[in-house]
Amino acid sequence: MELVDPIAGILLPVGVGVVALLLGWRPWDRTASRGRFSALASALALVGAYLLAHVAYFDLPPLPPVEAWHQLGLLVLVSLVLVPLEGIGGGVRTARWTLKSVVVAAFLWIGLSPKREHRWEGFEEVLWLGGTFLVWMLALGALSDLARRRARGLSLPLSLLLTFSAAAAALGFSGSLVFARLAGALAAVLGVFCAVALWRPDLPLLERAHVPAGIALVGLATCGAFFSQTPAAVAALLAFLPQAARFPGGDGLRPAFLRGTLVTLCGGVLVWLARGEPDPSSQYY
Amino acid sequence: MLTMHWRTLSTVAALAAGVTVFSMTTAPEPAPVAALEEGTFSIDGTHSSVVFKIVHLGVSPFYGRFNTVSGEFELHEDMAESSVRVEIDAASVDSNNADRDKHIKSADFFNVEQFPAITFESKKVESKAEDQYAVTGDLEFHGVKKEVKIDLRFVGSGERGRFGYRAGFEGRMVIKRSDFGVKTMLEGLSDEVEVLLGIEGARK
Repeated sequence: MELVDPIAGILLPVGVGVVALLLGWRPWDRTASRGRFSALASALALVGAYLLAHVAYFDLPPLPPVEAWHQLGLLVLVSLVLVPLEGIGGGVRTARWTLKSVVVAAFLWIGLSPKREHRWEGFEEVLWLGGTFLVWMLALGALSDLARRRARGLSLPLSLLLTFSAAAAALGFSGSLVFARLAGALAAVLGVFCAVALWRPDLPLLERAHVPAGIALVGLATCGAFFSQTPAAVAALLAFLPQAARFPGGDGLRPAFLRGTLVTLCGGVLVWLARGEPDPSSQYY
Repeated sequence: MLTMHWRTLSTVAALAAGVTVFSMTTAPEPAPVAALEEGTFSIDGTHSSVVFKIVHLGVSPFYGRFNTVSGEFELHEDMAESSVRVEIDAASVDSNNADRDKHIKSADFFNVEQFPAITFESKKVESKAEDQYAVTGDLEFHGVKKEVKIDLRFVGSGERGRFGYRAGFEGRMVIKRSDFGVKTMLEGLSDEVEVLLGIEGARK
């Protein structure tokens, strides 16, 4: 293991997480007012961790980005725009979902263009694009709802940490070290969220800031399915893995760990499925 | 006992001499190497090879190959006017390990879904010595187009029965994969990749 792995995959994400969360939420100050600025700080921690890991591991992507996983970095960055709009009802809610739909559709249209041009024909193209779009919107919608229900406490950060850990293992075992490393970097920064949530369980750290995490999760799963060997079903289920945190109970530590255990169990099954049946004689992995 | 031994030895010697003389008189003549003739040739993928060499863990050269090669070349009396275009199916990479092939095809390395073809298109051909040329052209690999130089050697040409008129070259080039955006596992797999080409063309 080269030195770049612990730096890009752990130190940088944790560093950016610590700085953004401490400045944005001031957890030591119980009288501080917190609002959209704090939510944006959480989102910046996630986006910063993702992009810094991307650059540290693989350098700057070419501009304009050509490969889908490079474009995903841009999409994660763009998702910052959606964060201040999260949780607002009325017309803003419609505008937010329209914007999300347009951004996701554009990513899929451009990112999956090699599939459209070289692999899919006719109805197959409609089926794959439509199905993937549906998975994206359902997964992002379910995560938004979950983030409202589990806004406070350890449950959501821990579930997302375990989800990204499972995603890293599943993506790595199914052929992509690149996607595994990016998922791992997000798991590392979510460790900081867990620490702050343990310190101040009353802070809604991810209530609005879940958007970049959701986009990165579904995006990496999509890249794994279409540009690596991650089985499509596993990729789709990875997108919904945080939903295990819906398991009933309060905001305390015990229910949070129970939810975490459930995510771990489901994630373990997905990793096992993603690993498939490697040729035992190949001794490659 | 000694007499028998000598007899055996002399018999073997006589047989060996006979076989040598026989083989000298009946061995097929190598086909004459004709000078280059003008024409347009389509690359015969079945009799052409693209092999790459990469150093693993800094200790050993590892060889892989591509199984699907196509394209064409044009030969002119003035070699400077000649040209070559080679197309390689990136998904035909073969490293003699199915699991590793899957990894090489993924976005970690070639991303064959995104970049299905590797192409080389010549821009300039220079004579270096007898039957040796330097071919400069654009290599497009992993979505990046860069100018590279191939050292090419004319191997032979001529009418070859049912195969028709054939001409063949062998070439060598060295690239840095990071120049083409393939940067995964640089710590374990060398950045420098040597590509060896064996190209056989059938005149159209």
